[in-house]
Amino acid sequence: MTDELNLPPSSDKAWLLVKSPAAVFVCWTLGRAKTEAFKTASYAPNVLVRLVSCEDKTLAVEAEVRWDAGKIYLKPPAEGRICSAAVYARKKDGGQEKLLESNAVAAPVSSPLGGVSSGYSSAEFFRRLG
Amino acid sequence: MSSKGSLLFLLHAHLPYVNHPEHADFLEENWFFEGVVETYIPLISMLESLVKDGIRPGIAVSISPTLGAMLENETLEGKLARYIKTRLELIDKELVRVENDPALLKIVRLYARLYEEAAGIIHTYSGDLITPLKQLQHAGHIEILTTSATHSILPLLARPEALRAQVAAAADDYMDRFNTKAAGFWLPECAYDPRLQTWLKLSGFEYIFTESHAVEFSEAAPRNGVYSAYRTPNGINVFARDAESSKEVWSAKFGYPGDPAYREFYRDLGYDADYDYIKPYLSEDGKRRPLGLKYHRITGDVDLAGKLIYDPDEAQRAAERHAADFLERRMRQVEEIHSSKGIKPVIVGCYDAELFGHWWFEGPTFLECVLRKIRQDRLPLQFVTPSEYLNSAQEPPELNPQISSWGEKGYFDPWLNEKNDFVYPEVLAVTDKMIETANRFRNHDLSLLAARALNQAAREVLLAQSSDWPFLLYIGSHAQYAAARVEGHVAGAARLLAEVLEKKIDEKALAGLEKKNNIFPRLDFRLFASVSKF
Repeated sequence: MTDELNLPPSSDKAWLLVKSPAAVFVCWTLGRAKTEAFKTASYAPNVLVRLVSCEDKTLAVEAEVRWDAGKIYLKPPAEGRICSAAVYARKKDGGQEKLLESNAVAAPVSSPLGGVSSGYSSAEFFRRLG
Repeated sequence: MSSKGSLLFLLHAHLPYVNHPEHADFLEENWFFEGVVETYIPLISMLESLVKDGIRPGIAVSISPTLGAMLENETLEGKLARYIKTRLELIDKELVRVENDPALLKIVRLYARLYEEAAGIIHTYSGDLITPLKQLQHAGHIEILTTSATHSILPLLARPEALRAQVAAAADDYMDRFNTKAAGFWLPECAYDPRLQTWLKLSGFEYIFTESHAVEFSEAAPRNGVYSAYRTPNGINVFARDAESSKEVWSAKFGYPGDPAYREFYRDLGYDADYDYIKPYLSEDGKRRPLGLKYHRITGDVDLAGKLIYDPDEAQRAAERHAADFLERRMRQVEEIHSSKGIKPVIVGCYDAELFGHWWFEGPTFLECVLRKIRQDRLPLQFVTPSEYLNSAQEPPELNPQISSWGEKGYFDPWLNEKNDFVYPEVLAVTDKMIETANRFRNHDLSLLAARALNQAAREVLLAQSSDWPFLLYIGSHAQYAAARVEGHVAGAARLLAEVLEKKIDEKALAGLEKKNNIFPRLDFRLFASVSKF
């Protein structure tokens, strides 16, 4: 067993999920130490969330959001490409610190049907009058 | 007559795991009681009736592990018996109340037959509704599939270990329930991503179903469209849903279920009857709620107050007419595909089982008419199960399906949006904790108590991952309950994992959770361990 596996589970995590060809979802949780760093203004209140193509490491999208939002939707890079997200904090000295890195996902290819699904029964029936 | 093509019907039966033994009466448990009386028993009865008449249904049915567990749960069985008994009491009162109104009397008698049939079938099988399904499969009349352990949207699980746990737990559950290996895996909501191939293969599954655009827009354009099976590079067979035949049955707006003659779902005696009269049949809080006795027809585009009285005979005729129309359309479709592509197509229709009977009251009648008419009219079509088709067809061409689902807009929007995305950090975090803890303890010689705690934590994590909770939050139905379920399972798992790490397990609390969330009795927490670490 490695030393890593002997550590208690960490609370500093980021995940990347596919929503659609138009959007991926990045969300994160921070443990006590990093939360404290934001609360005591060691870090600026906004984090930078970057979406990077895993194949050539090129930056696809960068967006800024408050650290305690814990989530953001981003437009993925070119369809079919694998990407991952990273969350950066801005330090007092103006530098950036990479806090978290997510799993990798493949951005879906959009259907030429223009996103019109051919049907979803449960939702349709729930919405018919309800 | 030799067939020009095949119809492959799959009914996907699923309900979220709702079991509250701590309450005598619990609102959301009614989903199960309504499903049993209005869908599962009418379908079992219909299938048995066809077999009795020498007609082999030849359809596929997927039964989610959560529904399977509820069908085997003795506490729910007792509550179901009480539910049916009180409905029959109410129906007896209704028979007296409407005795001078022939139109209403006809409808009340219909419900009397429905609930008496439910009571009869439950009695015949001593409360175990898995038995008739098992028998139908054993005799080759139907093919039963499973789906992911708790109906999780698999592409929304970030870690491969979580995918493996959902898939492998389902395979084990099926083996325990049906005493045989499952060949087919229903992807919840047809949600597919290529990572799944590995785990499906490792758990021994042979085929899956996807939405049509998973196949139609794959890199190599499929020559046969969605009208034949395909095979992924690692050997999983893929059936894609046919949009045309699906829409006719699916759509409340464009499809058969919206016919004015059919029963109106949303107008119910629970809201219409005098309050004092109906009060004994409402829940403990005394709030009006649907009681399953619905006396009106869809009528047309009018509000609920303007709905006309239901006529079962007219609805029966509509179901027969729709069955004939459905088959005529399939015949034309098969002819067109046969002449344009030179193949004997397989038309794949996948539907939520609960559409038939619960939402679309006449759905089982429609389905029975379709199955009988093919035989009676000697139509050149045949129903095939997925395994029959694969055994008789040529080697399926190779194809890599695209990421997709059958949900609104074709991807994962209904399960991941501003209304429900708050659940994901919690669920993903506790899943990660489960994986890390499983890796840590997988080779430990654990005490029985610690192993019980870790196994229950694994159950809680699986239950937190159900697709039902984000979906209910999205549509705003039972949203508070859905949010509480996620929170409860996440908190339960996190507490158990912490207790194991701290070696301070609260045995009483553990026993309480084991009693309440008593799904997957044989589950081993090591299913969450990283495969490469074994």
